[in-house]
Amino acid sequence: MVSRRAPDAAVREPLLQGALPMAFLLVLFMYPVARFLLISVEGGTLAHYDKALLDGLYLGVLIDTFRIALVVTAITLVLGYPLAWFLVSAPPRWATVGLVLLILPFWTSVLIRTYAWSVILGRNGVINRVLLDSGVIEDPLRLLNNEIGVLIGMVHVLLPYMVFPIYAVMRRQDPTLLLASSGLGASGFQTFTRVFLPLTVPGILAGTTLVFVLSLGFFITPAILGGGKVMMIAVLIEQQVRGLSNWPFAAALSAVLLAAALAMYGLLSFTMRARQA
Amino acid sequence: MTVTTTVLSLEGVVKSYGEVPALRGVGLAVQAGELLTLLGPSGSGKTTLLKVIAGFEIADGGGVTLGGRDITTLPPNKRNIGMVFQNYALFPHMTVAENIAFPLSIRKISKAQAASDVEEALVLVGLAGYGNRFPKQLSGGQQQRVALARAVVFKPRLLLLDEPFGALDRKLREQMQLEVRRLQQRLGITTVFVTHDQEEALVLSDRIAVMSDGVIEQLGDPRAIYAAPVNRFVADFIGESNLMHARVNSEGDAAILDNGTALPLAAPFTAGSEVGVLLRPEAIGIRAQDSLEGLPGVVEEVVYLGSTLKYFVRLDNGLTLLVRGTFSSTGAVPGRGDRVRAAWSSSDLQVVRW
Repeated sequence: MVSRRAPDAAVREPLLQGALPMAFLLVLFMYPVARFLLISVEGGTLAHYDKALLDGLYLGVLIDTFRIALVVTAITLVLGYPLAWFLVSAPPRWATVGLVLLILPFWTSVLIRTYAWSVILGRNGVINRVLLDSGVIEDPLRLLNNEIGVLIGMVHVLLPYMVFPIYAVMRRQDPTLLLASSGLGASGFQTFTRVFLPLTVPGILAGTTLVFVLSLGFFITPAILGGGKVMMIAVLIEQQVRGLSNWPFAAALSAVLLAAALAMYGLLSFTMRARQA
Repeated sequence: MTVTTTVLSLEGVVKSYGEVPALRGVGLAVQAGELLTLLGPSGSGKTTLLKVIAGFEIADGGGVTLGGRDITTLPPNKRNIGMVFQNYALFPHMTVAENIAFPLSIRKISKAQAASDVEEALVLVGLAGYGNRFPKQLSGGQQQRVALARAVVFKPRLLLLDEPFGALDRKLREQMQLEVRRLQQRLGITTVFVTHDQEEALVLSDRIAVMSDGVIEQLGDPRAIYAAPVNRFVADFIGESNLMHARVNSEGDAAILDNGTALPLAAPFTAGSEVGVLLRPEAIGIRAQDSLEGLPGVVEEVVYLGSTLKYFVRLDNGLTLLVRGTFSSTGAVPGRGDRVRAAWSSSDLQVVRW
């Protein structure tokens, strides 16, 4: 219980302590956001939002962005969940190797990794060479400058963001729960669907939100591996700013992106709270 | 003579973890309706044996038979055994009712039947009306009751209890012990109970199997285990004891302690054998210094334990004895430093294998 009649100094102290970080956050984060939100409604008009959300061309980009983000999220989940399970349940030595392999790419820039993919996926890339030489295919596969390339690159970069939250939640689970389930008559599959999976849902929600939100704003990978043929909202924003100097429209698109991310986050915390209640 | 049926039988069960043997040939027959306790210190193999019975570990050798069926290699979910874990292992994402209904729904029992079984189980453990709570909203004792209800609701052939009282405070522990015992007898369910707490084992069990180093040292009812331990491990592990190394003299009628004191034996023993002489603390009487009985010594320490007293008496011959006594009617209690005599009857001396 905090006394309302605490000495002034004791009240002022935490305030002062909080003031500096607060100012830091305001200047470095809130100000830029406020600034671009202002730019987006420059001249007191919502015309830019109108264009971003209702013009068929731009609406299409928005829908494509969400669709690609959704597919990336689904693929990383399908790959990431078993991978997280492997990391939790494998013998310590193998788990360490797995973790290192997963973390290692983090130390390389996304740009370099993306260019590496273009080498691997290209017409004369590693994959096509191997498949052509071994006679599996006659014409090179088109893996670059299209959505397939973008998806491969994005899944590669974003997979750890799916694995780690799930891994963390799996690690927290009490292994005797699985024994108990088995002892009560449940098969391995029943134990998974009725005990393990429900208990790891928080990890799935966290990983899914993280990957989805990051996917929405992804720039480098779609820009390079999409070869200008895959338009995502971040690529569009960059074009508007650099190519056309259309700052207000770019700002409106950014605001839409921010709103989508916040909505996802809101949905997540709502779901989490509903589960806890 | 009552006819007994063996529900669970173990034969020559062997289990090692790598090079380390955990069970070195365990045989045991558990009778229908009895509560048998596996008692031993940590590392004695009792928990491994429980896991072998539950199916969480598969024995390297030997056999496990439940209800006449060989279950040695059967997976745990096919064994129909209820188990209460040390930490209860309740599913945190399910309500109390859902936890208890879990084994029923796995067995495809109808919703209506399951609901009434769950209700019955809740009443049985005294938690009627708690069905909609989540485990984390319950106290430790209540969680344990839920775990117990979940372990018996599907009418398993066997109930396993793995040190279930360890996490409870003393008063609650004693209450739960009696409740579990009452419930077990009421259901008539064959039960194997694992504990390292000898007092708990004496309170709860029909029979106790004292384990050490991967084997059963002695199997018997609590009285027999306490009154007639077969070797020094059991004598030392069960209850408080004065256990002294000795050698039987050539006539076989006395045990010669290491310090040369000869203790006459009530019953003859193999001459020259190495033995332990066991003297329970409550069998020793404290006499006045001028008494004609017993051996002289000095009280080194007195510990008050409420209804009883514990003395450490250092005899003039060098032995230190633990003595448990009650307050005498005169109320005179010897204090620290007092000279007394410690007396016992030679029939209270028990000779055990060293």
